[in-house]
Amino acid sequence: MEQRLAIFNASGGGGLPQRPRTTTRTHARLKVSWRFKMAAAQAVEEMRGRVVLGEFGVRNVHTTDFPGNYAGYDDAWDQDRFEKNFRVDVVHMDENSLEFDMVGIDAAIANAFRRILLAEVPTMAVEKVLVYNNTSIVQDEILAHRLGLIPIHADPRLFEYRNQGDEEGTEIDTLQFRLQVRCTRNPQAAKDSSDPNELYVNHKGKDHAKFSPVATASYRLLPDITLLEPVEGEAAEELSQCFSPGVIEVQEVQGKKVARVANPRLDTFSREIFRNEKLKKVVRLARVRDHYIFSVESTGVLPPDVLVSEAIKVLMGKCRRFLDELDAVQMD
Amino acid sequence: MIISTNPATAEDLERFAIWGRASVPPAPPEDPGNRPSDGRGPGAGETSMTEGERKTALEMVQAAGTDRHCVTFVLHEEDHTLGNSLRYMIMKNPEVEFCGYTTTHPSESKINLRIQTRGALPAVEPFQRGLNELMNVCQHVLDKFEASIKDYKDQKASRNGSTF
Repeated sequence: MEQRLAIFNASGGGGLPQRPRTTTRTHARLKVSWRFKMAAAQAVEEMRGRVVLGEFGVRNVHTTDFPGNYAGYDDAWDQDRFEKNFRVDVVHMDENSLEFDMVGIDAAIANAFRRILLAEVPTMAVEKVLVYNNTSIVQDEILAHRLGLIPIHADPRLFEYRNQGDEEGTEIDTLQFRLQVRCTRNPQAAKDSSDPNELYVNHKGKDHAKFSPVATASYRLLPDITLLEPVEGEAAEELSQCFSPGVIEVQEVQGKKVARVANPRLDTFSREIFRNEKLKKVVRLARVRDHYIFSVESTGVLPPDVLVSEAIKVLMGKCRRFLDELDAVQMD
Repeated sequence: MIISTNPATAEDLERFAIWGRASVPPAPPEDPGNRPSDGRGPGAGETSMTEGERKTALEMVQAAGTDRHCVTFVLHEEDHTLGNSLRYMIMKNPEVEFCGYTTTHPSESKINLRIQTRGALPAVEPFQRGLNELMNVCQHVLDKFEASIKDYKDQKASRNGSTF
């Protein structure tokens, strides 16, 4: 009893028994500094590789791995290292939509592909509508606008661009269609007929959205959900309710319910977890910075995998154009 | 830094140098004033003729008194698509001290891309290297993507075939 009281006093009334001093002070200092180094290394890895979603803001948004920013890292561009780390996985593909993962690439280039898919892959769409007779209640220009938005099932790679200043279309750059419609469903109502000749011209989505070949092309980053502490019991059930179904799995381990992150890819990050006071400290929501989940839906003009290939070729074409320019200038 | 889009006067020519090149054939007219010459110093230079039917695709602008390691490239008919990806590739080069791009105005479709290099490396060199590296990246992405699509289609075909 006396001894126990002595221990209480020695620890300053904290109530906890003192840990016996088996390590020397130097060893203790090395252990502490190793732990700091590990924490620092983890913090750096998080800064470089994850976009962290906090309760009120998003951290580490921009790419920072440029040469010279981090001591001890060689961030200069290395094509071999890129090729080793890069991979593409197709998750789902059918004739109109495509979902695939691109891992190991930066946001700038992934975004360039997305922008090209939306605006710079050429397609064919109705450009000029000549209306001969329109007795419907739809005005001419409204009808022409709506006709322009119809996707045309013609492979744009088989056509050429029209030269500037050419007014007459030729067969290499134009498709001509004829529309003759008569509405006779309701004999009491006024009959309408329109008989326009339409010209379809090759263009890019940059000129008008009707030329965009995708219904939509988007990407998202792979979610990364980490549980900072083990979550058990009722809290585990609550946790699984805060995320999309399938993300958190509650398993029975030794009679207790334990939560485990099963499939973070399914999460849509509704941030419901931040509304729960107890659980918001337990979870770190982040996104993996270089893992892009692309989703491309085609309007039917070209199959979606062809669209993505064309988009990559468009970017290569832009680079080649400027390389040729540079060569031409330097040759003089 | 001075950028001028219509340098026609003699004082302009003394103050800064612009090189330009038409991007669309036919061959430029036989006017000796047209040809940019690299032999002269940075103070003088030639301007490019931008007559009605020819459009400049790339211009290089630098202020007088600096040598070629700080240059602004004006890329016509380009936007964030090429600008951001090219900026990323150029920044990955350890010889580049500064690289940034800006769209001048949303109504104009051109970007100013500025490169400053360490030491005396001419700025065209990282620009060219960035373009080449971006092309290599795209080529690799294309190869990997097409291989992956082919694998997926083969897998699907074999799965469908095995159910018959």
